[in-house]
Amino acid sequence: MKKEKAKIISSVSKIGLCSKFERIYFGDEFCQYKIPSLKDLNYLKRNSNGKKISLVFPYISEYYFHKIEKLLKFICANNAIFDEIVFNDWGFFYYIRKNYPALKLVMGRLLTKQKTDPFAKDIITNMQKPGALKQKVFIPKKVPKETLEYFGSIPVNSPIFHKFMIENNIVRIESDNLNWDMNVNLRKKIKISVYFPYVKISTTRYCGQLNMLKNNCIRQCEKSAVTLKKYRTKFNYIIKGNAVFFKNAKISNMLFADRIVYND
Amino acid sequence: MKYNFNITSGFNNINVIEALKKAGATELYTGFFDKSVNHKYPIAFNILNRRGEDANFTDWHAFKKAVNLAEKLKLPVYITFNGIYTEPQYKLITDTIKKVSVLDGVKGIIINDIPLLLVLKEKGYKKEIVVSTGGTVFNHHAVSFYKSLGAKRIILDRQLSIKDIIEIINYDKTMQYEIFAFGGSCFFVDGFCSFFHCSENLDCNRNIINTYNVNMCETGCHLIERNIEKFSDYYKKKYGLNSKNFLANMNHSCNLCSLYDLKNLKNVSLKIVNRKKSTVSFVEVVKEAADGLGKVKTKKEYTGLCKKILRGKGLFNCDGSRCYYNI
Repeated sequence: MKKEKAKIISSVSKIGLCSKFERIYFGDEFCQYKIPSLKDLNYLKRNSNGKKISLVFPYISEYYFHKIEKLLKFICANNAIFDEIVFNDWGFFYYIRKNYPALKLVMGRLLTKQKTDPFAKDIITNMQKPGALKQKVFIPKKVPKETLEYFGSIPVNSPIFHKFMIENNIVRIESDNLNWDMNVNLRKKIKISVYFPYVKISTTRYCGQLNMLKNNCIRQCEKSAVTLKKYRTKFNYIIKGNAVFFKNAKISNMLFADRIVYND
Repeated sequence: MKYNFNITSGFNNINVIEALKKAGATELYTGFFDKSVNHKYPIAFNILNRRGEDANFTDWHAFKKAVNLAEKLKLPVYITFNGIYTEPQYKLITDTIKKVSVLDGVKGIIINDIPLLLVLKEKGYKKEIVVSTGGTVFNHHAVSFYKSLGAKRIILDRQLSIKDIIEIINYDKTMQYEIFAFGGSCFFVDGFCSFFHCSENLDCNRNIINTYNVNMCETGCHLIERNIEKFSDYYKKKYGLNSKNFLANMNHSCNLCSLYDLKNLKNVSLKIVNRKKSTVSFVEVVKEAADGLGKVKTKKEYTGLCKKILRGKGLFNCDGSRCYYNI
C-alpha cells in the first residue's frame, strides 16, 4: 500500500522540517496551550507550498472553546488547504458536527485508545521468566491468546462504530505503532494513519514535564524531553510536554496504514 | 439550610453495605464479571473493567444477594463496565449487562466505550447510563455528545477546575453529574492513559497480593511520579519558575472544601473512589463535610471545618495540596 508521508509540527518556525513530506500536521494532541493561533494559520496558508494541512487539536477545557470559534471560521473559509481536523475531544467533535458539519474529521490517537505501554510486552507475549520474590517462587501463568489479540486491536474497530464514523464525516483514524502484532481490519472507506516513531502512553493536565501551568507556561517543554532510562523493560519512557511516550523505530507493524505521521 | 448531595460509594462485598448506609452513602457502585472470563481476559489485566482483582464480584449469587440487600436499604446500585472493548468482546459484555440489569436493585451501568454506547442505544437499553471518568469530559459539549448517545449522568474528569465544573453543570441541568469527593487520584488523565496496570498485584514490599502474572511491583506511572520531582527542581532552577508541585495529587485526594463553591448545584453526586477496601470512613467524612455546609458563613470557616473533620477521622492532615480539581 502506498503510504502518504506527513510531518507533525506545533510551531510555524519548524515548517522547514516539512519540506520532504507530502502533508503537514499542525498543532498538538495533548496541550490546549498549544492550540494554533489565527496568525499561525495565516502563515501556514501562505507558506505551505501547496501541501495539504491537517490541523491537530487536543482535549479542550470549557474556557478554551472561545479561542476556537475564529479558528474554525478561518478553516472553513480555507478548507482547500486545511482539509482535515484531528480531534482528541468528543466535545470538540460534537461542537464541529453541530456548527461546521462540512469539515472533514480525523479521530485522534487519544480517542483511539489503544493499549500502548511497552512494559506489557513480555507479559502478554508470555516472555516473562520464572523468578523468586522473597523466598517465593514466581512462575508466570500463561496469558491467553485472546488477551494478546485484545492488546493488538484498535478498540473502535467495530461495524457499528464504522457506521457512526461515516455518518459523522470521520474520514480517518490515527493510531500508534504498537510494540506487538496488531489486528487491524478496517472497512475500506475508513483510512488509518500511524504515528512514528513516538508512541503515546499517557497525558496529564498537571503539565507533566515542567510541573507548571498557566502564566508560567512559555512552551519551555518544546525545547527538551526527559528520558527515564531503561526500567526493567527494553524501552525508555520519554516525557515530552504533558505527555509520556516511548520510541518504537520498527516499521514492520505499519502495513495496514496508508499514512505515516512522523512525530520525531 | 440543608444541601442535597448524593454520596456514591464503591463496594465489593455484602458485609459493608449496611455500614455504608449508616455512614451516609445514598448510592453504590461495583463491578460484576463471571470468573469464567479469566480464561480469555484475566480480570487482573483490567481489560473488561478498569479495576483489577478484588474490585468486582465474580459470583452471581453473592452479587445478587448484595444488590438485593442494597435495594432493601434503598441504595441504588450502578455496575461498572468501564473497560475499552473490542468486537469479539461485545457479546460477552452485552450479555453481562443484560444479566445484571434484570435485578431491580441495579439502577444503571457505568461505561465509557463509544461503540458500546452505540450498541446500547440501538438495543434501546432501558436503565440509566452513566459515563465514567474514562469518557474524559472536559467541557459541556462533551456532556451534550454523551447525552445524544443516551447518557443520563456524567462523571466529570478529575483534571478540571471548580470553575469548569460549575460552568459545565449549569449549562445542562437536566443531566446528573458525579464529581470526585474522596479517595484515589492520579497524575494522569484517567481516560487517556494506557499505562499497563496489572503490577499492582504485588505490593511495594514485594509481597504477592495476587499472583496472576507480573513479576513487578511498580507501574510505569509510578516510576514517572517518583522521578518527576527531581526534574521539576531542575526546571525551577533553570527557568527560575515558582511552579506548583502536583505530586501530592498521587495520594488519596479530597474535594471537601470545594463543596462550599458547589453547594448550590443540583443533581450532583459525590463519588468516593475505591471498591477494594471498605470506604466507610471516607463516606463518613464526606457526609460530615456536606452536613457542615449549613453551619458556616465563609469559605475560610468551611475549609477549617473540613480540615478538622479529616484530622478527627485520622485520615490525613490537610496542607492544601491533596486536592481534586486544582487545575
